[in-house]
Amino acid sequence: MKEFAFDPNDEDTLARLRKMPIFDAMDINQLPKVLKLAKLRRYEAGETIIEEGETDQLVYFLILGKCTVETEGMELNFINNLGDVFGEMGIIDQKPRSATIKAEKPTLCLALDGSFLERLEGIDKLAAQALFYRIFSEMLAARIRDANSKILTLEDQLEGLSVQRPSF
Amino acid sequence: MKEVPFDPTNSDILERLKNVPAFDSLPERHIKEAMRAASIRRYDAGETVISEGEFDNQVFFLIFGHLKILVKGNEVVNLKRLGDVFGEMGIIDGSPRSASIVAMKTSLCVALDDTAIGTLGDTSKIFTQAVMYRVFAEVMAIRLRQANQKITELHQELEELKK
Repeated sequence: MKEFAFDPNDEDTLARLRKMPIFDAMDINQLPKVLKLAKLRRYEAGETIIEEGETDQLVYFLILGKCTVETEGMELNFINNLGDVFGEMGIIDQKPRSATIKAEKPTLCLALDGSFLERLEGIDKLAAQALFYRIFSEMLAARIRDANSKILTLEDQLEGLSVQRPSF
Repeated sequence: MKEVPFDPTNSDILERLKNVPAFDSLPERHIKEAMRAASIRRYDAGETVISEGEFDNQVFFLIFGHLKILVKGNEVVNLKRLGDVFGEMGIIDGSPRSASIVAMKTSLCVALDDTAIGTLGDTSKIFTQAVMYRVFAEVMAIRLRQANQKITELHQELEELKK
């Protein structure tokens, strides 16, 4: 993994960030303040970005690449859309990481330390909190709905298998 | 159901709100500010708070009482604790209600109306949203962890059966 500071003159990355709802919603003064607290991280294929069980407070925004999400060695999901956010649960409830995230191909992320929400000041701080927590909530809601429909599918499959088993 | 606007001079409700985990780190004036778009609702036993399939723009915080959550008539969860949050998914993604919520006994809730929040002045609005979405994110993080845990368990069960 290579980490470097965000370069405010990097128009290409800036344009990609502007396509993400969270950065697009920020006003012109707010964005540089938040980005100053951010780091860019480049991962090679196979590198681990987040390790299940660890505690840290980084939230990631995917700029390009593809990552896999695994729990207890089982592949759960992919992350491959510009602006996909991951690792936000760590800042929300400070619990250990519940999944491992690995780069499947060369991947570029923006990493923000969760404490940035406390480091901003005044109305900026409130506005950033309102914005980030709103986006987090939207993502979490979508993930909960996905998870719930996955639970239903698995329960159906289980029921199907139980029926097939001979009962004595 | 009886509904009254949130009265910032009602110290009983305010005391209870101060003990809600989501609000306990906030100064009293911030809670009052965030509650400007709120109302207090009292439900009798048997009354429906939320109907599955409907659209509305309310999120609720339980102050006291006992509610049950039903999906397609099946009881899923009980809500009994001060500060239990429900109904937030509708505000977040505008989707229809995915469950019904019925009062098991007399219950008191604080209801926050998303449309009403939109009519607050800029500062109050940002304030209310900052508080509200933070609470939502915290509540949903817990729910997502529970759902993922369940998925892992079901996967393992399936693997066992396939052996």
